[in-house]
Amino acid sequence: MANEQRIDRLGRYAGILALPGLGLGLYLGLVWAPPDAMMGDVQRIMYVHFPSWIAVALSYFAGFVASILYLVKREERFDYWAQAGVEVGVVFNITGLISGSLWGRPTWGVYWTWDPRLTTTAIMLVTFAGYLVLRAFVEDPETRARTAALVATVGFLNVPIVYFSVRWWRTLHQMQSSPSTVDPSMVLPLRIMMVSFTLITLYLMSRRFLVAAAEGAAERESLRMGAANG
Amino acid sequence: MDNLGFIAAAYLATLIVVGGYTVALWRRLKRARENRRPNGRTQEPAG
Repeated sequence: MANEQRIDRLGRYAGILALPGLGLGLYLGLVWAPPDAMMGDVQRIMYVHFPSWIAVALSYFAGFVASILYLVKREERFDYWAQAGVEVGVVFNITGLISGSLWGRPTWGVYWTWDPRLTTTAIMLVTFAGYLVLRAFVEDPETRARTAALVATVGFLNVPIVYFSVRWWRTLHQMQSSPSTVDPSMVLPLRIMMVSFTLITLYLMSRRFLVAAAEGAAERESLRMGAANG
Repeated sequence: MDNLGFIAAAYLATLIVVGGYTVALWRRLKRARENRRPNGRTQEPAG
């Protein structure tokens, strides 16, 4: 319980810290930064699109590590962190795909195409959404946690494929940029938004962990009472 | 600003999805904590 209070407190700090960063990042990205020389103003979608994928990578990685730890140690807290990582990852996976589609229409001419990067991110979303559906359908807590951990571990194998897809198959989606290839006036708002999204991710994961811990305790108690009543 | 509609839609969609999820989490956490309290559903029956 003391551990949960610490997670609650740290999560709140992350959430509070994210707010001024978000405000500043939005101002710099939407007003202060210059438009892109080729794409014009629509490139400003980058300041919300790319940080979404940072949040996805962080969340799914947390879910993956927690799943491995659960499979090795069989401690419930790792299952709670795995749930938190995957669910928050799915949320940002959705925002990343939506903002990418809205960026793609004016620049590529289409909202969606079966480009390797887009396809692998769609597969990633379906896989981790499947993880959440699976959890809803398995009643036994141990079987549910074990099966879900296996799905998250196997599902995470796609994450490096998503990252390298733009290098392995050079098609429509551009390769990763680096600060050396982006104008400094665009790097600053992007970095601020990345830090803010990371803090929001930590905040959401802490809330989701607390939900999982509270629901897990209630489920254990319910099972215990059911067993005691025969 | 050109393509303002696409820019606004991308930011708004992100706000709605993340904001909606955050509010849903708050409600779920509140409910889960209420169920955990001594007089909630998880209380040991008297006797």
